[in-house]
Amino acid sequence: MLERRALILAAACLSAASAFAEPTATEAIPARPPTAEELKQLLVDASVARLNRLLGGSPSGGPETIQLKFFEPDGEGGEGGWGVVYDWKLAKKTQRMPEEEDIRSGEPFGFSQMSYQFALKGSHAFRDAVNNEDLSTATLSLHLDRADLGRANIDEIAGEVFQQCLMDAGPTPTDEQTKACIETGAVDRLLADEPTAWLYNLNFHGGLEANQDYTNSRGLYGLNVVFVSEPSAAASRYNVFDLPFRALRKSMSPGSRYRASFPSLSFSLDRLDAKDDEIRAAFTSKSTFTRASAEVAFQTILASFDEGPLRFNISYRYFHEFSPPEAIKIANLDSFDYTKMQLRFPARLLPIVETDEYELFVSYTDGKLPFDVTSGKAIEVGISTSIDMLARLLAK
Amino acid sequence: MPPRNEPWPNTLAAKVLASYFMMKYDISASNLRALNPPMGAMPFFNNSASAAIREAELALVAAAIQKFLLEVGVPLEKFKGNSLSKAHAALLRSMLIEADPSSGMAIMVDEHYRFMDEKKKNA
Repeated sequence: MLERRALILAAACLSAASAFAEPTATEAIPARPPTAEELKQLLVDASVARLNRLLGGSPSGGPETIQLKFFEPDGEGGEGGWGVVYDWKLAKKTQRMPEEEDIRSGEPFGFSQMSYQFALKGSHAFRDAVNNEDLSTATLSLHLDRADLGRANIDEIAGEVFQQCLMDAGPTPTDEQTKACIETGAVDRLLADEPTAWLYNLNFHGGLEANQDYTNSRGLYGLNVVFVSEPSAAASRYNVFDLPFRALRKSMSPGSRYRASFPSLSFSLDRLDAKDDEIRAAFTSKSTFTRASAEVAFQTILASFDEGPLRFNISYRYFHEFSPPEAIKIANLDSFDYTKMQLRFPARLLPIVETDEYELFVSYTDGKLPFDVTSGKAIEVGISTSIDMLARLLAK
Repeated sequence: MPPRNEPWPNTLAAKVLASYFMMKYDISASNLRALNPPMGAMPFFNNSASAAIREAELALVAAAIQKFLLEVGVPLEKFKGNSLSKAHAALLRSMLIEADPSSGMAIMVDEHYRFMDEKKKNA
């Protein structure tokens, strides 16, 4: 009976999928019945989509509250497996951006924003799979954001020429036609003259952080500051993180006008209550403690090809407990660091690799986060991008 | 082979936005519109960073897009409740989720801004 229902559901999914399987303007799809793997994926996608519709999406976030993910554990053991990643927010915000008349008279373009937010975020791996994702959190927070992108350089005539050119270029202009329109309108100078832009976010928060099923959890409240910025052409020379990548970009893509952002920074100071933390309780009865954490994140483009950019991103996070008990220090539970870096490129650059994904990546992680007592180096293979051949080779 | 997503919508907003990304990130505007990569493949999406940093970075990118539209004289669409803030919030929402199609940005920009093709259509 169950098998028959599964087949009927699969047929329904097939029927729904067929309605959308129309040839696109760029690629004709040959008519054929789906394989067993494609049917299975249709069932999984339909189930997740149905669940997201029932949940109504995230009231203040994206339409998908839940996403499926495959968790690949580190090399020291543990099992891989499927799980879900969830991100749900309810927020009220008031944002002020300057009026156009003020911008025209010289006020910098930017915004100030205050918001209240309740958020549930985390991941859950099914069965015995090891979950090496970020901590799961349930938090209430007050956010203050401020951004300044400098003065706007308004040129409506150039914009009109640019738009008219793109309209005249037809429904699908080539890159050459697009470049010609950019030059005709001279709108590229607007980006070449951009001043340094920055944004900071200050948030006060309280809630719970835990492992995936909240069996080990701790309450926390604290303060977090995030700062991000994009340099002007002149300031970009001081972006020392990008120095080696800039040299590579110049050699591989000589005409590149890309400017990498300055590294993004985050600092947190939290007061945690770990009375439900069984791992910590094994070493000390001191359940409340103060922890500082910091993160530096950076991303850049190494080279630009016709198929797309070869890009690199990295994040380093450090957590430190102040005045930890001796037992915690001896057990190396007073400080943690975690590094994640990825090299990502369009799948079209490697046509020999069979994949349905747009981008492939090689990801490297090192270290551990609080609550993850298994440290080690791991190569991550994500659900949306993978190089199967490489993953099998590294697994040997 | 890249995924078979629906291409970006055939609007002037999509062409202007793709042109902006071409100028800023040296990517192919025609490939971007035709292949409709997920947000996680966009050159400004930091896949390694924590959510807090990534959201701040995307908020700055969204504001930069709005600044460019202002500079080339594209006005806000005149409907009740629309404002620079509303447009920013909608654009940011379309950028946050890694698996969401990048065409969401073009749709949000088209909904909240009034491009020349719409002016001529309604003339």
